Amino acid sequence: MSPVDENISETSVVDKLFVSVEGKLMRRLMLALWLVMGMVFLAISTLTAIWPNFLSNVVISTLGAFLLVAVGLTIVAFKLLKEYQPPMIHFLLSLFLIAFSGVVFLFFPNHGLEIPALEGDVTPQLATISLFFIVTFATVWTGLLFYWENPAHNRQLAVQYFTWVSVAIPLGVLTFFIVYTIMEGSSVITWDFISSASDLMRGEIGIFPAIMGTFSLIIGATVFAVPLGVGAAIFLTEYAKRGWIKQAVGVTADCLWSTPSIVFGLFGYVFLVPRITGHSTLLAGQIILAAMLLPLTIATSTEAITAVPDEFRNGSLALGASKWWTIRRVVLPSSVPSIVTGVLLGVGRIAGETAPIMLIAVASHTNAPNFFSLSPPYFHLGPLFSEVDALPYRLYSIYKAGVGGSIHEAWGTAMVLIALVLMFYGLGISIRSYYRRNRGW
Amino acid sequence: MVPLTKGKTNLREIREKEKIDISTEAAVEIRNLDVYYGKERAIKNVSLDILKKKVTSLIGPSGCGKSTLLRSINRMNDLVDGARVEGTIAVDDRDIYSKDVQVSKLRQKVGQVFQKPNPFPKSVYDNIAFGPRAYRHHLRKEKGVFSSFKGIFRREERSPIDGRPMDQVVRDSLEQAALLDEIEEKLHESAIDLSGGQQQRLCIARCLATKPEIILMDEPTSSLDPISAGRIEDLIEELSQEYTVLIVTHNMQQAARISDRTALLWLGELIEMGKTEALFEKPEKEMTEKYITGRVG
Amino acid sequence: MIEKFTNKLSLRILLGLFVLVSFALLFTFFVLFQTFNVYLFLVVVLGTALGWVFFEDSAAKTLLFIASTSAGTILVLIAVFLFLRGFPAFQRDPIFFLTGSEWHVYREIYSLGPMIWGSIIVTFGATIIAAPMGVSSAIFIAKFSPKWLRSILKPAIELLAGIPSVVYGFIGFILLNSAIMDYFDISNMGQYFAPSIILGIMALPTITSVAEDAIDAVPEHMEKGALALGVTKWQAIKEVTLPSASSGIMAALILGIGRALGETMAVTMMIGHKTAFPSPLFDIFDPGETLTSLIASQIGEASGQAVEALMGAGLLLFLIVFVLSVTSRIIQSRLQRRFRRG
Ligand SMILES: Nc1ncnc2c1ncn2[C@@H]1O[C@H](COP(=O)(O)OP(=O)(O)O)[C@@H](O)[C@H]1O
Ligand SMILES: [Mg+2]
Repeated sequence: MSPVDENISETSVVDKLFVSVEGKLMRRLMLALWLVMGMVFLAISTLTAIWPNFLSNVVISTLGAFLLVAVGLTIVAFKLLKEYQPPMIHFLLSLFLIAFSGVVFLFFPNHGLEIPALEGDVTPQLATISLFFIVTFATVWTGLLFYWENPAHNRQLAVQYFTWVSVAIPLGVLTFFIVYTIMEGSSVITWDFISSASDLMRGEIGIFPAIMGTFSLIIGATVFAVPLGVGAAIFLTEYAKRGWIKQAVGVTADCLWSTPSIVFGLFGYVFLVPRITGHSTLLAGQIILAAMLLPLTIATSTEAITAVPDEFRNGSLALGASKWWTIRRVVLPSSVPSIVTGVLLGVGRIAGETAPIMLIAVASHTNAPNFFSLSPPYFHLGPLFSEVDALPYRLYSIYKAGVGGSIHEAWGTAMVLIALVLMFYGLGISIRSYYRRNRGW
Repeated sequence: MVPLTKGKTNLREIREKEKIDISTEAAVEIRNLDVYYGKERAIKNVSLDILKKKVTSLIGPSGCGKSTLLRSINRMNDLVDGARVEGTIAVDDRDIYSKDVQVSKLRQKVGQVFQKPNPFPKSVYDNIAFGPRAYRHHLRKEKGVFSSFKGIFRREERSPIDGRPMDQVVRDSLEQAALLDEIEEKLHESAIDLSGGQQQRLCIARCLATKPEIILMDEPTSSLDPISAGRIEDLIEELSQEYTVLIVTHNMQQAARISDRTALLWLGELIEMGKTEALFEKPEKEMTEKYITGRVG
Repeated sequence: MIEKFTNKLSLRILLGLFVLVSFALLFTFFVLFQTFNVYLFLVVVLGTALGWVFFEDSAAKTLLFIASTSAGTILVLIAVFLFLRGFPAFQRDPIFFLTGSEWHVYREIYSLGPMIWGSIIVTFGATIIAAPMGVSSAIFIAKFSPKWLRSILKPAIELLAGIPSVVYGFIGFILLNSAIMDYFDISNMGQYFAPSIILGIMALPTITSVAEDAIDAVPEHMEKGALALGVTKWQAIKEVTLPSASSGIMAALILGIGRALGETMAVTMMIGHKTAFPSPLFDIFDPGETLTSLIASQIGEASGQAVEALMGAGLLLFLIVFVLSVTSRIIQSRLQRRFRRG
């Protein structure tokens, strides 16, 4: 760490540049070159070690390395001019690069960038990926540079910058996925696509049965899981005196929550299917999804109920209300918004589960489950005991059949699925933020 | 039920010494009370009587066990992990710590007002109707299941405690708590939006709606501004016409202003108890004198 | 004596016992004999209703207790049934089953070696991506972001966990797999490399949110104390907050690893489904298979010994993730205890 340059603010920009050229700039350039060469060398040697085909692509890597140096030098130049400013320029630069790569990727999907030095086209994917690596390297590198070279408060800025980038990248990916899916999918989405079944004879596609199937699955799962989960949470927070009961249920809920979804599927396959009808049924799917929703419900409800202040409980008990009355009339009403939020987020998560229902509940191109009819008995339980279609499974079965012919259907399905999940999340999060603001305690 | 005859003789002495009306009876009799939190002994062998329809105040430095003593009278100490009570407390000659006591019934008769106003996040009306509505489940225990369903189809809701229409119960309670005029229009709005002083009076009204005999107040004015505090003090004087009030306060002027009798607690022990004027003007114990003149504590 | 029995208390307990026993019988019949006894079910429902009407408080408490055992019951059922169906695969030749190098359905040779290796590679790759980014984004959200940004970032990270894994798999398959194929000029689409990247993104929210909780749980006065000595915020975080939150961050990483290990659909859609070791062993661009993708892609058509072997794979997966999550729980509760004491 170099000592703080106290009177830096009193020197002029020219002075600063001059001083820098003598001392810092050279040091930095050396360090920069060294870092870049080191990284390239490291990358080349690693890739060659693990991947025999590598050498034929050395050209591309070299290009990447050159770009890296160029970007790095630009940043150094900027940095010298803005010696003790917050590294805003880095944010902007990396944002620009990310945006640029996104634009290249999104808007030139069919035309490669012609780069004469290379034989053949550089595909947009290639451009994006190289840019991605360049941005990553450049940010890491300037961050490190900034961290090592400067006094404590600049280290802080470097870290801030680095952490900022590591939030921005996944969220950028998230946005990209959503936007890309919408762009690909929106051309397919019509009212018919959503509201009717596929007609294979006439070559029409529709995902209505899958939408209805998914809704039946998640409604059933919620009906099973919410009473159990909320009940367990109430018991744990209000009745269980001893710590070990809480610990035990906490541990089991944790384990259940992290159990892989395919294991739930296997369990349903060996336990539920033979006990219900022997083949895939909606009911089995609902129960297994409920089992996956249960730990989430327990966790969020426990949190929600614990957040209710004790003053309310004491106030109610001091008026002569019994414990159960207090829970029902004071504790639960105060925690319902948070519980609903938790359940909605959980539902958003299980709505897209494929692995568990794949074995036990679904089949593609079945009819929509129909519980109601216009003639007596008006309501049937029959669909519970037959297979359904579901959005995530529809997407998977298109993939399995080979996406070639039905790529549009796939994007449409993916978009509807994402929209569904976004809807649950949006609803849950807005309920939560509304009540955070207005709950009055 | 365990009748406590021992307390009576004591009461005669009090009547004679403090020249109190011969018909006055004790609402709460506390004998040899010890309260432990785990190993810590927060109340040490306290015996005292709280007289009917009088305002009694508990004073003492903070941490001396005032709240603890108060909470053991309506058994709110049961809710504290590790709290243990020894000795006897009798309300209406019944030992409230005996096994067959219904705690919630006791708490309906012995209401409590907390330091921080704690209205439920419901409407003003629902806040006040809460106690009477919660009483319905006592009916089930006392008069059988079906009594608790009686009248659920009646259009007009009635309080199960005394059978009066709920609207009237709510208005009467608010009236008694001197709050009706201020919030008559806001009966169905959220109680959370009231001001602090109004909230505290609402809590008193909520407590009155359950027809208590004794009202415990734990520093009810300490989180309020002086004007609201003054209104609550006036209210307490009013209430003592009908109710037995036990009030914990850290404010000696307040105790002197509003209470008939005062007890001084010190490190969990009862130092002195007597008529308020007597206690403040010519205390018997040196300790009391030191405390009220501010030389300790 | 008689009086005692007609006492309400005893009636309550008798009714409660009766309903509980009927429920236990119903449950046992269902689990052991695969029958759902409608009469017993009606008895349970009726008994519960009666109990609710007459003894609401105790009935509620009992029902809540039963609800609180539900998670444990499900977990035990999963463990037992996977064990019953999967253990025979281990029993035959445990060493070969776990370390052998072949999985040939037609020749009926089943060993999980390549899949275990595949799971390790993919999980490792995902962790390399998710761990640094997850932890540092947790630091950003907990410490550097202004309040309004935080209230946007947290739900956004949650949403990242909410995007269905088939969608991740599909987008990854369409975009990433072919891009990598082009970029690295490989002749196959499925490798260990592509799913690792996607899994890294999928495991990230778990790490971020758990680590963020851990960092948030460090009492603020500790950091304030350091700041009062004149250090920068980052120094305070580095010297005080992060060491105190380290076990929580550790737990977050373990949970993230568990997530990546158990993730199924995305891997199944992006990997090459070659049930053999890559050669050379570290070639992350070879097609391969993981435990989860093996089960997902083969259970539909499997029969006989293959089912057992797949169940064995499921059992193995379950056990590993179980151990991981118990470990992280223990670490976390140690953290909590430390702050409660201090
Ligand atoms: N919930 C509790 N758990 C453990 N100890 C307590 C609890 N409440 C009070 N105490 C202890 O009991 C003593 C008396 O407390 P308290 O009755 O609240 O005093 P006061 O109300 O006079 O200020 C104090 O020493 C306090 O530490
Ligand atoms: Mg107190």
